[in-house]
Formats: sequence, structure tokens, C-alpha cells
Amino acid sequence: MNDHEPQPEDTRAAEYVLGTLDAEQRVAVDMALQAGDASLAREIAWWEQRLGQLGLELEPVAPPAHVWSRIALGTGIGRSSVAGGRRRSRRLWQGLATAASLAAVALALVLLLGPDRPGVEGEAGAPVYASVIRDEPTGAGWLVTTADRGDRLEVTALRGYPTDADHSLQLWLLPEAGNPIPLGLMPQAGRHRMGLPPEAADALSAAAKLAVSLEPAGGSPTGQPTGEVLWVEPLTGQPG
Amino acid sequence: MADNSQLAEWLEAVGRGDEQAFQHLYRATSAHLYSLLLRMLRNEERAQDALQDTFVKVWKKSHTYSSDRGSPLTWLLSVARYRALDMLRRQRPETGMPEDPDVEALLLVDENSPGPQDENVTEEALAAVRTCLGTLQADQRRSVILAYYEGLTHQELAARLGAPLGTVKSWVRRGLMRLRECLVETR
Repeated sequence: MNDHEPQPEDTRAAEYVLGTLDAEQRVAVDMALQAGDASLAREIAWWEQRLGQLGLELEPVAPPAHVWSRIALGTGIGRSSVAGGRRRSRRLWQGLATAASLAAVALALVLLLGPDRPGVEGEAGAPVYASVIRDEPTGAGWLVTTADRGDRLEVTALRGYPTDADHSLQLWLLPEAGNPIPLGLMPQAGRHRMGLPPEAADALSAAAKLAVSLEPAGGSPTGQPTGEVLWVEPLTGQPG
Repeated sequence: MADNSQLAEWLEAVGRGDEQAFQHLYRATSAHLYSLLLRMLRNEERAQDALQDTFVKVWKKSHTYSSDRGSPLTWLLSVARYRALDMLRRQRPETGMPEDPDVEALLLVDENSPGPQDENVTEEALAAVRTCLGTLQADQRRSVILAYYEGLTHQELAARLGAPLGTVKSWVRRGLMRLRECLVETR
């Protein structure tokens, strides 16, 4: 904090920060600030620090995760990573930190734990795929692996990603070529298995990716992503 | 939770376009900002809009933060609060959330009780503001607190407190003057 001590008779800066100035006074302060009134700017900063303590009295409330997605869209961050990609839609931008290496770890875990896991056990010849979908800011994430000889996907919520009652998170398979294939809704907790339609089972490959989009509750009404694509992650595969 | 110097580092990196730092900053601070925005706007959707606007602004204008603005978190709270005030001034919300029973209760906390468990909160600064608010006359304190947490104008304060406009203006003004005197003394 700086050592500036505002003049006692002038509460203009304090009321500017508090928000009680009327529109005209407020504009006058804004204009003075733009004109480079350093003393006023210091007073305002002084008050922002003091009154800001009141904001810290409140119990923090985690915002729903889609706010971050909207911010990412609004700032354009994360887009550079799909420049030149094969996405048709501008909304299909790459999610946050790519988790290719995590997916490799996940796959290794699946293979390691294989004997105890239905769907992996005794499946000589069936390739296994895995992916980790992760939201860096909120720590939300899912482990996605193939199961039942590749007939199903098993999605394990590592940490939920709350959405409001009007929205669901839908998982898609992005084949190497062609349209996204709808898979199922992402669980907020626990482990969930979803059947793989034959076209999806055929499209599983190390070149395919998984995507999650924000859709109306219950999933996309059109069979294609209609909302923001929140994350796109690669699949890591172990040939059978 | 990150401390102030870590937050300042991230903010500085955000100014250089560091997306990772921006994510870290969001993760570390958004819950504090969202809580205040909910309190002021009383509507989840509007609070989310304001939070989004705030961080987009921070991303685009983070160079306006400098360490002499004080703690990064209180600076971010100010940016969020100005955004909420703008929204309130344009249109008073259809109240979407229940009225708060008593915002003043927030400050009736025992001074010796631990504050929020968060290293961002500089306990001394918080204690000073609490203590000094306690030295204000009740009407002055109530006016300042209502204005802060609900973004009320003088007119709205007058209506809420059932007092003439001139009286309310004087409560706010004298309350702030007293608060400043006290904060300077206890520094």
C-alpha cells in the first residue's frame, strides 16, 4: 500500500470507489483521471485497497465452470493451438492445456490395472484407448477409457464440473475424418459407462480425439455439437 | 491458495499475454470476485456476466495494474465491483435472489475470530477496516456497508433507510471521513 493520505475534507475519491457519486460527478472523476490527475488516482487506489477488504469478508463462491469457457472465448485464448487444424467450426477450438502426456499416463494405468478391470481383462486382441479431459482453471477432469472389448467407454469423473440445470456436458468422438459422433453425457461424479455406437467403435484410433461440448440439458438436440466445445483431447491407444 | 506476490507475478505475466498465468489467476481469485458480484447483483446470471466481463477486461488491460495499486486481489475486486456498479446503474435488477437478511451482520464478527482461511486476506488490513468501521456511528456504518455490498446510490440508500436524501449523503460522507481518519491512525 502506498503512503498517500488523502485530504480529509475531500470524499470524492472515497465515494467514487464506494459508488455513491451521481453520474455527473462520476464522469467528472473519470475525466480528471484521464487528464492525468495523479493525486486523485492515488486517493482512489488508497480507497480501493481499504474498501476492498470488505469484499474479502465474504465467503468465496466458486463460479460455474462455463464462465471460464466464455472468458476463454471472449479473450481468444487457447485458439492458437488449433490454427490450421481440421475443424470446420470456429467453435471447435482447442480446450485448455493439452493433456496428451496425461492420456499416456492414463493409458499406462489402465493397462497396469487391467487384470482387475472388467473390459480390459482377457481381451487379447482388443485395442485399448484412453484420454484425460481436464479443465485447468477448475481442476475438473475425467478419465475416459475403452471397456468391454471396445464396445463401451468408461468415463470416470475425477472432479465434477458443475453446470446449471439447463445444460449438460456431452462427449463426442472426433474421427480422423468426418463429423463428430455423439457419445453420451459426462458424469459429475463416479464412473459411468456409455455404449459406443458401431460407427464410433470403428472410428476409434490414435488419430481420433474426444471433445466435450456444453449442450442443452439432456444433450444436443441435433446430433451435432450446438454449444461451446469446451475441451478437445487426444486419444492415446495401445493396439490389441 | 496463492499469496499476494504469486498473484502479482501472474498479473504481470498476464500483461505479457501469458495464458497459463491467466488461468492460474482466474482459478485463484474468481471465487472471491463471484461472491461479491452475487451479493451486489443478486442474480447468478448477471453475476456470471460481470465476472466474465471483469476477466476479459483484466486480460486486455492488465497492464493497468501496478504494485502501487496494492494487493492484486483487492485490485481485482475493484475492477469487478466497478463493472457491477455499471450494471446496477443501467438497470436495477429484477431481484433474482432473496434479500440478504442483514449485510451488517457481516461485520459484527468478533474481531478476534479468524478471518476467511485464505492467505490472500491480509489479516491486519482486514482487522483495521473492521475496527475502524466499528468506530462509525450506526447510521454511518450502515450506509457505507449497504453502499459497498449492494451498490446503492444515495437515493436508494435514502429509500432503504427511510431517511431524507441530505441526511443519507451526510452519513456516507461523514462515515467515510471518520473511516479514513481511523485507518490512517491505526496504520
